[in-house]
Amino acid sequence: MTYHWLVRFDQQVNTPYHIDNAGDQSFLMLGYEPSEIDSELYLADYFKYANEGEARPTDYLKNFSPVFISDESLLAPFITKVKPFEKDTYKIVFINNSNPKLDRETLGVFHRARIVKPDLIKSRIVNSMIMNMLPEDENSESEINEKEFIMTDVISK
Amino acid sequence: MEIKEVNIENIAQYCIENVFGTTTDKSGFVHLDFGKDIDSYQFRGIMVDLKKELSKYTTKTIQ
Repeated sequence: MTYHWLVRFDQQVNTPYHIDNAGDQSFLMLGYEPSEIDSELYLADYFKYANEGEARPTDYLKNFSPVFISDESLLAPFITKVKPFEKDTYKIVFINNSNPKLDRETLGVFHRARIVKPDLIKSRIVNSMIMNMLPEDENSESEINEKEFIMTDVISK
Repeated sequence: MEIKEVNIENIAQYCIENVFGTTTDKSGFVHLDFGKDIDSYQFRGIMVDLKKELSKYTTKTIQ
């Protein structure tokens, strides 16, 4: 597996259900540091939606969009809320971020972040790593400095 | 899952079983809580170590 990105940022942004822009077979590791900001994380199984969802387009996977733009209530039966999401602990959520290509090896899920009550005076630090799963002959490790990621005190906004 | 003892091999195995699935009976994600008794540097080190351990598995699998 090769790094697609490895960053740490201070973010209080709500997102729609989506997969991140990375390789066809990719994995997202979110590392949450303790924060007073209440947040929630939801995962939605788009394969189950594609196969079992009411009112889903018959060619949903073929015309897959990385962002779920339809009425989110359609996804309701296929959503899991990650819990408990403690405020004072260090947490990793590791998510399959793959897209539904025909020759897929593993199945991805959408994720969605919700900030319960934003307060920009406080910080909410999330370490974000995406890795792509590639055959070894295509495996060109990019210039990611792991030591710098571990030791830095810099936080992107 | 609450992590009481950081054993990267065991954590990676748990990730592989639940996240690398090819059927929808697996959740596609895992939630790992490392508690309060580590610092940010240790935490980021765990993330990097976990990536390395997962890479060993995928290298073996897709060759």
